Amino acid sequence: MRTNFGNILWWTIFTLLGIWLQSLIPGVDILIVGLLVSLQEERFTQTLWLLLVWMLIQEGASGLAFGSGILWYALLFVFYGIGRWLFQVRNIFFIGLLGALLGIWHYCLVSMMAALQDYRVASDRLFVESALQAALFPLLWFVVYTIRMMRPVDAPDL
Amino acid sequence: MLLGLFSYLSLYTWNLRTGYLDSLSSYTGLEIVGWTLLPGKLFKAKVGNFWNTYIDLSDIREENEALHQRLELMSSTLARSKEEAAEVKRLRAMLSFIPPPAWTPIGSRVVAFHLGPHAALETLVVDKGEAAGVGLNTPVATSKGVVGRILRAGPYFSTVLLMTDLNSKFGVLGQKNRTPGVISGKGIDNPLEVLYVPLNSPIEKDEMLVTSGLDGIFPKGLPVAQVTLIERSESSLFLVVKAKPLIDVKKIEEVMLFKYNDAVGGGAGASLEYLQ
Repeated sequence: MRTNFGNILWWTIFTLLGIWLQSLIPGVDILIVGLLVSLQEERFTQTLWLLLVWMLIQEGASGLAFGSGILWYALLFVFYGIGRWLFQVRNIFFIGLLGALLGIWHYCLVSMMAALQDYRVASDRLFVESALQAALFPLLWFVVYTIRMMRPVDAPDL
Repeated sequence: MLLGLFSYLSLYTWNLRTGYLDSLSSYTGLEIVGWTLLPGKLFKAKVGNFWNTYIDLSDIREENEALHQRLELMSSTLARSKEEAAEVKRLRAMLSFIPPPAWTPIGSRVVAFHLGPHAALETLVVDKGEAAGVGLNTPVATSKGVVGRILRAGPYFSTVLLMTDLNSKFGVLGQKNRTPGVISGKGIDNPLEVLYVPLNSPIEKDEMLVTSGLDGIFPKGLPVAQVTLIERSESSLFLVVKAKPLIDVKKIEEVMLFKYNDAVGGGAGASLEYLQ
């Protein structure tokens, strides 16, 4: 129970800090980094809860109709699943590759979902945000993963 | 995979028709974002006020004198405007015109700008929602001019579509020549474009554009932009008119939301009561 409370508190603080960081870096998803860390911990119930809450947060702040978040996070699961089959999922090079794929997917997804609703999007701004997403993803993952591993219950087995 | 795709498309189209999932995300996700960011914004405002009031007193005297002069100018302008408003009221009564509906301004603080990975549109998040009587298409402005309209409303926080967004369009009039047009956003760093202005229309450079009220969203008379460029197009029946918005959307901290009052009344100038 104590571990669960500590875990919930950790993710709550991460969510609050993530929202703040997203307000400082418009157009970039910070919370997705936590989802990847949760996937790497192989705690699937935790991952599902985080996915549900964060999807509602991102969809709520979005100007598009509900649905972008499902596709956005679904591709993370797909990329992670394929990557797990081919690579070492805690390797920084894999994380960098994943970040690049997410950056490309961000551009494609937002363009596609906006077009479905007859919205026009500023392509240059979207490109910059996608590039930022790709560039920041490995850095943020490293920070979050390192801090997460400092928790005694999460320390890897030696 | 096909089943998953089919399920997703069914859910997506169902939401587009009903809006239930959009409401769910507005009532949960948007509120979480708002309540997370608002305390920090309030703290920053308080610290900023304290700093400006008690510590950073440089240039205060010069600013004070400039503000005094501006106040005198505004007072004389207001006096003239009141006279003109009274004359309009008399003329309306003589001609049996129905007075415009009244709008109630509600102050609100900007909490976030263009938040999240799916922020395809140029938007703000403000700290007023349905609990304050705010709803879809509620006009948003500052004392300097129009900001945009409400795109999505939660209980206590709402998303504002900025007028500089590519998807924002509403009716305007030239303040001097009363030439109508539709003003369209072209991106946050680009000038606005006024569409459908016929080739021989009287419109001047530096002329102020105000809301026409014809779109049924904005009250009539709110300042919007200033004309910066007028060109004749060789291949179109309309002029190419560019305008600079009166507000810098990146620096907005507080806005006013205009709640529409169903009861018609208020007399002449009711659409501009907030200025008095």
